[in-house]
Amino acid sequence: MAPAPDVVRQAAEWAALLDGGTVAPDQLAACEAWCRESPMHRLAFERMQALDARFDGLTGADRQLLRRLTDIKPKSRLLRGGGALVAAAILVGGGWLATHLQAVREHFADYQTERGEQRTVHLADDSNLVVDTGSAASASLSGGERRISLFRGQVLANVARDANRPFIVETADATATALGTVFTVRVEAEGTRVTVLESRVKVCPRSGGRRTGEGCVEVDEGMQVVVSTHEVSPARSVNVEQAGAWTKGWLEVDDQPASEVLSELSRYSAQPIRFDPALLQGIHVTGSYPLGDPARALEAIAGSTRLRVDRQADGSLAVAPRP
Amino acid sequence: VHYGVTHRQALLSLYKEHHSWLHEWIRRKSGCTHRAADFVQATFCRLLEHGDIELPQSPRSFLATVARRLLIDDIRRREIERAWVECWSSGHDAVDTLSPERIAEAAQLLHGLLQLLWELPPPVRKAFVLRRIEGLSHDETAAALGVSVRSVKRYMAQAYERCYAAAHPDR
Repeated sequence: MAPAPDVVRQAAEWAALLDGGTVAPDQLAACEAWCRESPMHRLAFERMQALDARFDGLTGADRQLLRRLTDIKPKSRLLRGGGALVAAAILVGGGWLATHLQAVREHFADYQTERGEQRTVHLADDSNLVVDTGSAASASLSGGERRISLFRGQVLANVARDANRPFIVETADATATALGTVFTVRVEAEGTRVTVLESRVKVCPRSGGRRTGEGCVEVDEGMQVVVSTHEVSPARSVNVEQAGAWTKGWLEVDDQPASEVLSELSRYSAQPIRFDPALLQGIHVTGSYPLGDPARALEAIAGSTRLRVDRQADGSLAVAPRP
Repeated sequence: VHYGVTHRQALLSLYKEHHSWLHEWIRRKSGCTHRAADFVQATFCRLLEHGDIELPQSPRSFLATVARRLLIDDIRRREIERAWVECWSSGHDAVDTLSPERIAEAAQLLHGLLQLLWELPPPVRKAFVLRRIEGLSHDETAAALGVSVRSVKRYMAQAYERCYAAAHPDR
């Protein structure tokens, strides 16, 4: 179900043909006809166009550096890398070289959301993916498996049943394989957080021998784990309604420390939310707050606690206890 | 092949036996004692992270290979960070609005993109950079390279295909 190499090649030719600027209407029509032949054609072509958009999105400094360093092709193996480096990367199974390639994949990811944006994606296998604020993910549906690569942020996967094709969400830390239907995966600084809203999910740290299944844990409905590259934390129970509320645009909290709630809200806010966690100690928050309107949510939180919100000159929102 | 606990034990004995040798090796290569200790740690961390690699017969040359890659990678990363900050400051007044995270993020992406571009055959790379990075038209790109517009389109198609493979390795 993923575009075959020759389809990718043809899509590349179409993209190059139409890239020229002056495009004859019959060329456009011919490309559209090709795209209509198969969803794989369209996917490959759309991805080519996405590549363009991502190159266009590079900053002036990025461009200047690329220009400078591609122009003087370095003679030294130091800068260029090359065969030996790739061999070493394979030697240790991915490793640090892979992180740069990973950065490229992230940059070109299929689904990207801005701060405050959420998107629901209907995949070709009838699964749904809700992509949370500030996230990047790619989907690859092949004959053998369905694989979502989550580079940053959070997704909720609502998985269509297909016993022959496992549905896997992978992050830099871990893989989460659906054994049933609904779960969320979120990339955080300390690891990947997997929350099971329905049925069960098998979670494996990256470093565990995937072939042996060592280190893998099956997580039950209503449970949550944090996975590092090495291990899976003990599962803790969560409120399923609350854990999935973000997909409906709500932040639901029940007696949670204010600093945690504000950090969560700031993920959605275009304006930075600033606070000193030390000053907020002992303050807890309970309630439902709209993620689509972080400023209003902040006012509501302040109204129900001992907090005040001040809009700073630079547009940021400063939160502190009321005097 | 060692997995899990056995792998960790094998690494532990590897560490006990060779870490001072590796420290000295890195110190000689990098000329810095402080950083050498960090790189010894980093080397073993890498090996620990990859739980299913086979530990070879000649552990010293293996450790040296891994450490060397780390050293090279570190130098490369700093080079790119430095160059990027330079480019950035030429377009901005104050460098102090840059956060370390922003610099690291940019460097990592650019490092990846550079790797990608360097792998392209030279004419393809030149055409792609002129078109996508410099924003020249196909005609202008063709003129700059002294080739036909048809060739530019062919080069662009090759570059697209390569970028696609990097962006979607599993297609």
